[in-house]
Amino acid sequence: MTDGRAWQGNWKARLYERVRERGFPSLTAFAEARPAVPLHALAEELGKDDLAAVQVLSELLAEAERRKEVTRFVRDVLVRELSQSLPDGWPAVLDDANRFKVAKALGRWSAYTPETHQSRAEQVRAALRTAPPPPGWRPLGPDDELLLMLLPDEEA
Amino acid sequence: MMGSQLIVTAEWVEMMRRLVQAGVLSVSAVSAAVRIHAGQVMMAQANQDLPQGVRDALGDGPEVRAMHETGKAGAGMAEQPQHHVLPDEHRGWFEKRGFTGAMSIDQFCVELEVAEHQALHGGGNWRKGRMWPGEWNRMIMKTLRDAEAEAGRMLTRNEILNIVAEGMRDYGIPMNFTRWRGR
Repeated sequence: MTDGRAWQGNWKARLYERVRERGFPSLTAFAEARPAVPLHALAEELGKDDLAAVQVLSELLAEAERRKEVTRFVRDVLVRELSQSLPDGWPAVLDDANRFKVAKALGRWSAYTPETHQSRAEQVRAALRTAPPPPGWRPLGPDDELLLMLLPDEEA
Repeated sequence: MMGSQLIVTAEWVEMMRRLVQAGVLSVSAVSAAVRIHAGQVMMAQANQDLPQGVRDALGDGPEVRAMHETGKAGAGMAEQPQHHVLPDEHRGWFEKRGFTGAMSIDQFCVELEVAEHQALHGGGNWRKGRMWPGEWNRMIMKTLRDAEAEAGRMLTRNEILNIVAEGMRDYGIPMNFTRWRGR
């Protein structure tokens, strides 16, 4: 939780200064060294009181756009959302509580997906509803086999 | 409309004046939206969208469409503007899910400084806002609606608050709720 200070001053300069201090050439490199770690935890590590998860999110997207790796970024965000809501992996039983956890992860992921990938994200959600992953499925990064099948790179 | 509320700043008023001087807008088009009284800026009718002429002049982005409502704080004077965390334009949607009476959306307001508020709405750059759905109201409604679609049922009030709380943490919005003071 920030103290409302995340938006004061030049947050972008602050964010990249912290990334460099930690020895990473880019925010993407910093995040890749912390696979499946929720966005808010990345933000807290960079600036517990003065950086917010959506700032990390928007800069990860900006870097992904420059690298033409937006699809990979979209998979990466899904991994982090699943890890946040379902730390023990995909639930074996979809009771009401677990159904909500899945719904929250996918709803948040959908809202954090850029316009360019909205329709592909909807297809992924439909595919997960039709054919749920095996219980315990816990993708550890954007190169997860099932995720690559559901949302393959197209930029390459 | 899935728009946001933008605080109308002193700079915005200046722009209106310049546009009138340049003949881009008619005085009546602006005065339909803005009234200037002794240095204070008040929207003529709170909660009413800007007239087409103003929107055309500013560029018809989602934030511009949603521009309405201001007070002393919007005009650069000291008063922290309040902001509904559960978007006011979707009040009915929340009422259906139990946000009524003592738990109405008016109970879940936060006070934000103008700079913070604008940052949450894309720093005033609607083009960026359109490309990146990071603007709070739009983001939270999309999260809630898509979560309902996934759950296959209405979310409960507590589930909505759970999602909203995570959203506030992600946006760096302190969870200091105040009651809506009204306009």
